[in-house]
Amino acid sequence: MIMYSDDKIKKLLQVAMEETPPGFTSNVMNRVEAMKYSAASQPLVSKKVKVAFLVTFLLLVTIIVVIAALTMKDSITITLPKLSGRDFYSFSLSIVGFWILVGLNRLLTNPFTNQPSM
Amino acid sequence: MTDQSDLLVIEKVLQGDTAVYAVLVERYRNMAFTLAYHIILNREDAEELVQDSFVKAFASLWSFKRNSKFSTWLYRIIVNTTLNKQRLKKLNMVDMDATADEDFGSVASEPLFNFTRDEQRKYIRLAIQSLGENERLCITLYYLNELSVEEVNQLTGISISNIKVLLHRGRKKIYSELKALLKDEMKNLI
Repeated sequence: MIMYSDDKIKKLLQVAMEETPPGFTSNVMNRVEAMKYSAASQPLVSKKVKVAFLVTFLLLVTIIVVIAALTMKDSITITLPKLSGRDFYSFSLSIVGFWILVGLNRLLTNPFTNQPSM
Repeated sequence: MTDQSDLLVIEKVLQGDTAVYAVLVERYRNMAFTLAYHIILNREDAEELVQDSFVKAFASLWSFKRNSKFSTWLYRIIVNTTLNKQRLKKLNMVDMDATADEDFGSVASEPLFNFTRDEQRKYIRLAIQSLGENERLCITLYYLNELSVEEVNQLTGISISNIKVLLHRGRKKIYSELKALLKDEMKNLI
């Protein structure tokens, strides 16, 4: 009856430990040296810093826009041209046309309608 | 001690002294190679995969978290790289049995006496060959790479209960195979 002891199996496996071919380490180091300037160092900006930059940028833009809107309210006067009924009609028609085209496009590219028949 | 020493080496590498990385390669190359070889059963492929894994580990060394062992992290890279290659090989319909025979085909016909260390190694390798892929992986990680069952579970995704079954079955198979191959000579090995 053979006992399956952990120590014995460990010894057996250690006997069969594989060895890398000669020159293995130098081959790895050559490849490492070749790429050391491109990959070994940590990226200059981590993901967290990137997100922080983006949030700060958006916040700054929002603040500037709000301040500008509050302070420039009286100084800028926009005079809108008077639109005739015909202008309004063509304007509404172009919007409706645009959305019809968008709807058609979505319908035609819908994956459920594009599935091949069995 | 090794863990601390690994961390010191890693710090130096990250500070720009890349030549020190050779210390880690030297320290883990045989373990890494054995692990890859036991998965893929081909020396050339295993060597290439382990080289790739060491280079990958170097490239992403900055992301290595100091709360785990470098060896465990490296083994994870090796297992993933090797299993991916293994899957691709299977997709390409390569006959793994034929590859295994490439190294060990003549062993079974050799006389079963007067074993040198090299011959012992051959027979143990042959016994390892008789294991299934997951058995080989678990046996190697657990006994040779000295990972805990929990670590093997994290690394391979195989459930803890399944790992225990695979280890038990693997041990049993190795002994049965060796017993069949070596008969009375086996007791001299251990």
